[in-house]
Amino acid sequence: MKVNFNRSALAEALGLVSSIVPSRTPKPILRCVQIIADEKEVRICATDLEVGINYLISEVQIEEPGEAVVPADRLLAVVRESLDDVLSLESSEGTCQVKGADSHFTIYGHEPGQYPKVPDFDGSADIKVPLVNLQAGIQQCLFATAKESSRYAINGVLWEIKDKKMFLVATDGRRLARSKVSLTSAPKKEEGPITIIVPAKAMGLLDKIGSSEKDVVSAKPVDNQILISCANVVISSNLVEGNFPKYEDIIPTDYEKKLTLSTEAVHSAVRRASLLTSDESRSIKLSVQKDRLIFSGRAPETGDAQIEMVIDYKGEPIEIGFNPQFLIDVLRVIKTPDFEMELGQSDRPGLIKSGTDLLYVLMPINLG
Amino acid sequence: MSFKEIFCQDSAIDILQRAYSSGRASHAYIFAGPEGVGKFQTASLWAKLLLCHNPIIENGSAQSCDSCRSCKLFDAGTHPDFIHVYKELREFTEDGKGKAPPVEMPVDVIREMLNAKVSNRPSLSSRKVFIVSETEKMNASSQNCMLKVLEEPPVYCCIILLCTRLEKLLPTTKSRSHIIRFGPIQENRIFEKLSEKGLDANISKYFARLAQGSLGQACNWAELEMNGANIYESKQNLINSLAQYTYPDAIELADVILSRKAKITALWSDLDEKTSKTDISRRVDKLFIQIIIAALYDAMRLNIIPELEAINFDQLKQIEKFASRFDAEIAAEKIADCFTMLQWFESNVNERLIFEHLLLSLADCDTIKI
Repeated sequence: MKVNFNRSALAEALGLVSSIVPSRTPKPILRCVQIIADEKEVRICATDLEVGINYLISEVQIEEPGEAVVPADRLLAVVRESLDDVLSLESSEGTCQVKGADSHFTIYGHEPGQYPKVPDFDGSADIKVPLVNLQAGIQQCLFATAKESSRYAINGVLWEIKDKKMFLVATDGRRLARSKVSLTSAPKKEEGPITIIVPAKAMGLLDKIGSSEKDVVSAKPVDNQILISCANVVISSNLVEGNFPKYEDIIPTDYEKKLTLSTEAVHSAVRRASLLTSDESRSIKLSVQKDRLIFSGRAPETGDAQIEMVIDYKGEPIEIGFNPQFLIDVLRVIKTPDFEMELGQSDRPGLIKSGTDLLYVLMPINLG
Repeated sequence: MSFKEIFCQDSAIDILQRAYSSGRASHAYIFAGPEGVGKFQTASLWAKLLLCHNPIIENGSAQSCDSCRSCKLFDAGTHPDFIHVYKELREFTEDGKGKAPPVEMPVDVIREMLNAKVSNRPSLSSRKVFIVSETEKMNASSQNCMLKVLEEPPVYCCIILLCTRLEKLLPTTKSRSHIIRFGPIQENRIFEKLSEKGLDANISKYFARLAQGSLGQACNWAELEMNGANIYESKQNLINSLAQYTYPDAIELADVILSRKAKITALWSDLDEKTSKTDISRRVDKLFIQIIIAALYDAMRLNIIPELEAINFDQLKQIEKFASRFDAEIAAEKIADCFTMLQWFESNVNERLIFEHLLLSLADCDTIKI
């Protein structure tokens, strides 16, 4: 293989691609990136065997097609430190030569055939969505995914596609976040609704892609994988096995105690009330009274806190306990200035809604 | 490598082949048997077969094709759907950076390398295979951590646990898996293999007998011997000393053994940097105990069936002298003691104390007790 690269374009590509190269792995070849040059284009690929990334690089001049597998950190360092505008990369039998105007590096790599294949996006996609919408949706639910649960399914984010709407749902058994994303194009109705579970890692990576306003994401599930393409990047990820819990059943619909609250004021109140909670009593109490809402936190042997807020409420008074971290997590991602909170009894879950896009259910804590 | 090249494990391979042809491969297996008899080799071949895209079936026995992309990546060690879990993986876990290789299987390795990876669907093949090595070194918490996955893995999963001491596994682990037993390998097969490596015929013959059916152990020793470990020479000296030492010499003899042991351990650690030093040191300790057991064994047989060929066929005179100290019954008792010593090594008893204790008790046999 022999290819001339624009150095800054190569550096940018390697920067993104090497973000998924695992730093700790028993398989040394995975610490490499794969560079594939065919007649027309050059692709840089990396994978950690769960998530893969395939980057089509611009501004290249191909002299001889071929493949190379080169350690990612070394190549990135060489490309970053070089001063030239153009770098030429030449590879043969496991070694890779990088040449600038005054420099010459030889990097030992691996045989190209041994690198796992990172899939490319072939054909057209059924699902299309603007990247900014998708990223907003991801931010509003990703935090609620379970970490290392033995119920495999809730370690990922559920994609539920019906018509031109997509729900992203995440839960860890104690809280559930659902965000709605509108699609620009959706699969045909005859094929029925699509439900897949995407690992949290791939969702996090999608969130990290630098975006311009106009970028559109195309996605399609293939066998056990999902392929997601955005501009010149293709992300592939294995899907998570298992059945996602039937979450619709736990979203309460019969609540009558409804409050409209200011996001910023509640965020601050919850944070302040949680200052005086201890690890044993990790809960704060919300007392809803006529025209008043009181947040209180108490830690035995430390002290207690009380924050009062004036609200517009005429219904029955209620007292309910929540884990403050679970409230803070959701308040952080609410974009609207106000949100709605609905409560039933003190032993039933609380419901938080922001606009029509975000829905959050969280289990109460027994105030004993 | 194919199933045909695995010696003396026909019944185990037969069980696997029948399961394959009927399409009823179990979700979890325990391959149980002594060290170095081909458990890992069989497990790898089985994994490769399960993952292969175009398996070849001939005369009722299935074999991976060796030419599809799955097989090629498997051979290169980069198959995305094959995961080998071993305790030294700790260095690649979240908190394991810079830690020395562990002696027990850490729970972090099970969590991050097995439990966390089970739920991701396979990407290249239709199945996903995990091999967990040295499960006898799992403590209760590691095993409990694995139970949920072992009980009900996703349909595409096959988990193979390799184990040398079945009694170390919890009943809950055993009841969730299909146990397949592996037996020792014939002595002549080991002899052939060692001779192929270019080891001297006498040494090969001795190692083949000493290994008691463990091809893997014999091959390790052969490799060490060829790198100048002088195991055979140490053994000859040890048998010479055993034949003539008396009670007061025991401590000195223990010193000699320990200094030889230190040299072999150092050489072995240089050859195998991945395995923890403690592990290697224990293996060498065991080797010396095995040499002593072999001598006792010969002594016992000499008293009962003298026509049988001895393990120490090259030092019969010394063995005769050694044997004059005990009758067969006492020799058998001493062999039982040696096996207790082997367990003491596992329980972290000081090795010097073990060797001194053993040698003193051996020297004690011919004193007259009242």
